[in-house]
Amino acid sequence: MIVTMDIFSGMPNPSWKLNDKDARRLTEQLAGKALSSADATDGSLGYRGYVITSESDDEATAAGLPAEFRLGGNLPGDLLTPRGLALPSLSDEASLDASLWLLQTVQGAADDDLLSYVEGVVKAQSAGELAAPPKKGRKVEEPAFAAPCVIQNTAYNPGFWNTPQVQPVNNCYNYAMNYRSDTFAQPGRISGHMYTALTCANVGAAADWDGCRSTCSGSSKTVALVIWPGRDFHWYRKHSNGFWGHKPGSTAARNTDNRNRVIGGALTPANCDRGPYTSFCGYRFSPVGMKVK
Amino acid sequence: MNFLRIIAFVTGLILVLFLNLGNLTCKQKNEVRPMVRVELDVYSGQPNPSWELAASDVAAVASRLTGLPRLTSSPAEPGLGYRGVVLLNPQGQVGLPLEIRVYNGTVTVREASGLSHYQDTKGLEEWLLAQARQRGHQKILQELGK
Repeated sequence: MIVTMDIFSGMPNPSWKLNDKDARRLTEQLAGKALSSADATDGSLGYRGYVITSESDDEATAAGLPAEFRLGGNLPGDLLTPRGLALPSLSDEASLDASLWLLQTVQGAADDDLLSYVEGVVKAQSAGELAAPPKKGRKVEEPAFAAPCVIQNTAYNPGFWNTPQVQPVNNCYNYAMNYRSDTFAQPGRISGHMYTALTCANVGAAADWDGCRSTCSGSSKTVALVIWPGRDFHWYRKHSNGFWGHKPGSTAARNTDNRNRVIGGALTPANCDRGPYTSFCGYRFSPVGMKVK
Repeated sequence: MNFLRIIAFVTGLILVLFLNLGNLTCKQKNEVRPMVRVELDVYSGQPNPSWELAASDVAAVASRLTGLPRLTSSPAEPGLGYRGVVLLNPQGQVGLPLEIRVYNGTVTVREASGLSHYQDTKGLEEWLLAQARQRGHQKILQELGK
């Protein structure tokens, strides 16, 4: 974890890396709390808190924290909260305690005068001498997080889908969400918010309602949405074997693109031959156990 | 007595004729509605455009299936986009196979015994695509280069 003290206006801010022990301690203090987004600042001169940044794509998720967030300072009150869930916000007291404690981890990144100044500001805030603006409680939608993201892509198993009983009545959406409904599932149908237009935004929103979201929370499988503009949608699912599978309509599930190349390695749903499905909408996360209809 | 026998005979004859007439009517109804569905196999997410095969077209399909050269290898599996035209006959009616897919010059027939592949030498695919155009699917076929 990298800590950046947000204090200067012209010069680069002091920045240092927490050792493993300190990183664990900070994680334990902050886990399960709604935290401020990194850009939540009133822009005032002087000490504006710390920005905490994870160094790897799995460090933040393993810790159950956002990849980047702000701690301490005179914050306008924007909170990072998971979509649909309410986490308790980090209390002012806990925030100030953590802010003071971080001064002990600086390891020479800032001189003693600067540290004394910041200590004074933080203690003044703690004593109520520097009143923080009231928290507005406005929720920021992105990045959303709830439970730590755990990617659980399963092994490629076309035999399940390519039988006379299953194949004709389960489509690409069934396959990508890994749920056999025998209804030729449609995004949004199970949640009562079916898509109304064949665009990335509209079909993506419908899938959102079903539970397939653009951010990862909990145990999830990786999927991708593509669109034949104005005509149709198609989905892919990532497998633990390292490649992507898909099921074009009522035809057989396969792991190859329109040029019969395995969709793996450098070849992804974003750049493989998708025929008329020219719009790549991006990757999404389908919770393990998600149902469709 | 003879008069009674005559009455009984005529009554029985009328009954037999009446029952057969009813059967003929049902048979005619079956002939009018074969319940074979034709699908333009183009979509992945949404249901494919489809229509019912007219009774008057059954013979045309059957004639285009007769005497086709058999292929020894399976055709390449089509991907996203145009995947041919499929005739679905799950009840096995009107003397047609359970399923007929015609794509890229190959006719694949599915019957209870399995799949067989033939060369489309009698223009079944083009004939079905013409039907699709007549039924308002010309634009999508144009988008797919058909």
